[in-house]
Amino acid sequence: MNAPIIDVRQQHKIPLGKAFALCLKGIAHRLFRSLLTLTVIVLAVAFFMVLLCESAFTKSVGGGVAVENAARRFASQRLAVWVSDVDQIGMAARLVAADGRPLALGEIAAVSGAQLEQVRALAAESRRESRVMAFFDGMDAGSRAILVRKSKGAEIFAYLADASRWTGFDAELAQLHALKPPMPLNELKASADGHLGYVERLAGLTQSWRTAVARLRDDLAPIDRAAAPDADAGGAGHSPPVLAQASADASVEAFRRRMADALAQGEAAFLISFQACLAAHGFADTPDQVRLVHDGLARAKRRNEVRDRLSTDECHAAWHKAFLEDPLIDKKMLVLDDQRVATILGGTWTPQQLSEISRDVAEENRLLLVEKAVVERQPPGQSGQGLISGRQAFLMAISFVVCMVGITNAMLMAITERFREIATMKCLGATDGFILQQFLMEASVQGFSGGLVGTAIGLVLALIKCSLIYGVYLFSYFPVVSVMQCGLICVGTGVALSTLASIYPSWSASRMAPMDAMRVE
Amino acid sequence: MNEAAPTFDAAAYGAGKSILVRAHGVKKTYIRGAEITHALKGIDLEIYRGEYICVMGPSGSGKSTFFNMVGGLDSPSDGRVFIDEVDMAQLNAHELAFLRCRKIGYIFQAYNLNTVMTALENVTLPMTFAGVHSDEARQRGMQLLERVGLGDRWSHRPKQMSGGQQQRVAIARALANRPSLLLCDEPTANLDLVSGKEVHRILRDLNRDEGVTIICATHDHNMLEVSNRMIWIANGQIERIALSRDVTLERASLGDDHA
Repeated sequence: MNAPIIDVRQQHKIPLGKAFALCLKGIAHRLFRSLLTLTVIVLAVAFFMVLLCESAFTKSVGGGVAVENAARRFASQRLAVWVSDVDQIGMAARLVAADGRPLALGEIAAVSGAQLEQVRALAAESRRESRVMAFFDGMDAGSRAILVRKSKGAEIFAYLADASRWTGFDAELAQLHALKPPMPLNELKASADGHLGYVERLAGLTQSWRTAVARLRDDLAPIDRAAAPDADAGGAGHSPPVLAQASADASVEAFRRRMADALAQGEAAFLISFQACLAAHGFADTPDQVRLVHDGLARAKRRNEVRDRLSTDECHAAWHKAFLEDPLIDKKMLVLDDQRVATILGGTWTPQQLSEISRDVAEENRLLLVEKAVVERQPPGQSGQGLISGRQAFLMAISFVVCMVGITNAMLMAITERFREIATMKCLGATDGFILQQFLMEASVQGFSGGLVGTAIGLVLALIKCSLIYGVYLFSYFPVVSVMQCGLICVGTGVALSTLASIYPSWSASRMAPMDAMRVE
Repeated sequence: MNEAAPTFDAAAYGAGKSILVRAHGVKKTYIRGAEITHALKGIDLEIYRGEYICVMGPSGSGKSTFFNMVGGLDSPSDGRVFIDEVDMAQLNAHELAFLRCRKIGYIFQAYNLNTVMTALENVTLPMTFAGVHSDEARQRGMQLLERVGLGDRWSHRPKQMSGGQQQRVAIARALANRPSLLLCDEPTANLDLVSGKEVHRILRDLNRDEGVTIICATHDHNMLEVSNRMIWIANGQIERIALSRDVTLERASLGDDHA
């Protein structure tokens, strides 16, 4: 009867895989019972996903539309650069835009005949100045009054350049903790001190640019004449009076309009000589770019012609007559793709051409609308880095807290319901750690499934919402990678939320006394 | 006649037997605010290897508390409980878990089966805790289920089984890690007569054939016939200890239903 004395050792640790299998077995049966918890997770995650996706969509569509709009504006902008005069502020803006882009900097240097190094330094300075201005523009009026008194715009630099004032400014800025200067203070001071020199150099550059552009205008005028249709008949050397007048006109604006016309109807040979002339003056435009400008201007010209035609009395009368015969003609006018509409317009356009023009106009209007919508949903200051703004982050934090309280509550209830199961497990040899692990695992699986569902719902909601705002552009600029990242973040958030919220309930479950298994309800 | 009731001679009974459970001055006091409850007021008891013991007593007598002490589910406020000369108070949480897992089998009044697991999974669960390889555990689980007569119902879940069948699964589960002590808390209280008898028969066979020590809290007089000793607990103290055969004789002579 002398059996060996019980050899008591530490309880065996269950491998993670086995523990997970045990946990899954339970969850498979309980998932629907914890529907409340799941719903809370799904809602929170879906909300988060909508916010993230909306922001990702806005960013992506905004970027795409901006490129399209820039391409549409390319022609007129480029033309303005070639022939219009520029003032100092415009020049500074151009320098800021060109900063860090060697090609653009090189063009400015080549056209104005300045050293590339000088232009580059000037561009960097312009960028710095614009940051300083933005800094002072962005602050509230009170802080601004404290820092620079009544100085406005460039006066700020003069104010700061004053040594005695600078000392005060330095101390005042140190007290306004919320304000982060855009650059180290010594750079700010250097920028203020160098302001006068900068303005001088900028003025010099602007002047030489203006001179260069004026020379270009002189050179362009004969090319323009050569390309003009009646110039062919008259032969070289003969200047039609209108064109000669245009080139001699002091009004640069009129010349620009002439040039736009000429470019719009310019033949290949004209474009080539035009480009050669630009290149001779230092402009970096390639023949392809000139062709793009030609295309854009030609499109604009066609549209203007139709628009002008539509507003003539003759056209109005024809339209009215057609309307009496067929009231539906109004709708057709919108599309312009109809033989009768072409007749009403009475021009030389075929229905196909008209429909092309109308599609073009519609597209441009849509693009502008979307661009406006993007700007509206992208408050200033967060266009760059963060996916969600401070206010949204606050909302999210609140919803997460609510979600976690809900999950904790539901889990605590579930645990009091399962006291017998937990206590029995402990009687059968489960350690506290195992129970804790099981409940945490269960919570994270729950969080994962809730996160998946929530992410899917959020994505669908965001798609519906944004497709109403951005239309087809949402799909032509669909940010696949960002959406996938958002999805990962959201599922991870679900898991984290659920696991975090269940730490306390799981802990209290693991502390349950095994003797509760003996309790009889 | 009462004076003639045979007294229990501990020294004579215990001679030559090895002790499995020894309770030494076990007291348990619950303090709730100003209210102090003495659930156990000092219990000394020795339980020998291979014994089948019935613990009887009205509810609130401290019977369950004593049970928890012996099963390593609760610790005494004073006194000590030794299982195989191991002081339970000396064990840390992991060692206690080890002890519960391999050395003690528990059978509950409400079966306490895991409702989401099949019968076989329920039986193999303690073996999983003990680190037994799953193939081996499954094999042994099937043997145990066959032993309690449920070999063909291994894939059923508790809800698909009757109370008696569930309790038999619970017995198989309690036996999973070959415990030396089986603690049964009113195992037949929720069962009908036939199922209760079946459970008794299984427990008796286990005790007789395999020498498993069984401590059984019960109100069921059918237990008397299978047990060796009976212990009455009342008011936190041992009221009486008697050999079952004496009690059976006593009952036969008295013809009453002493509980």
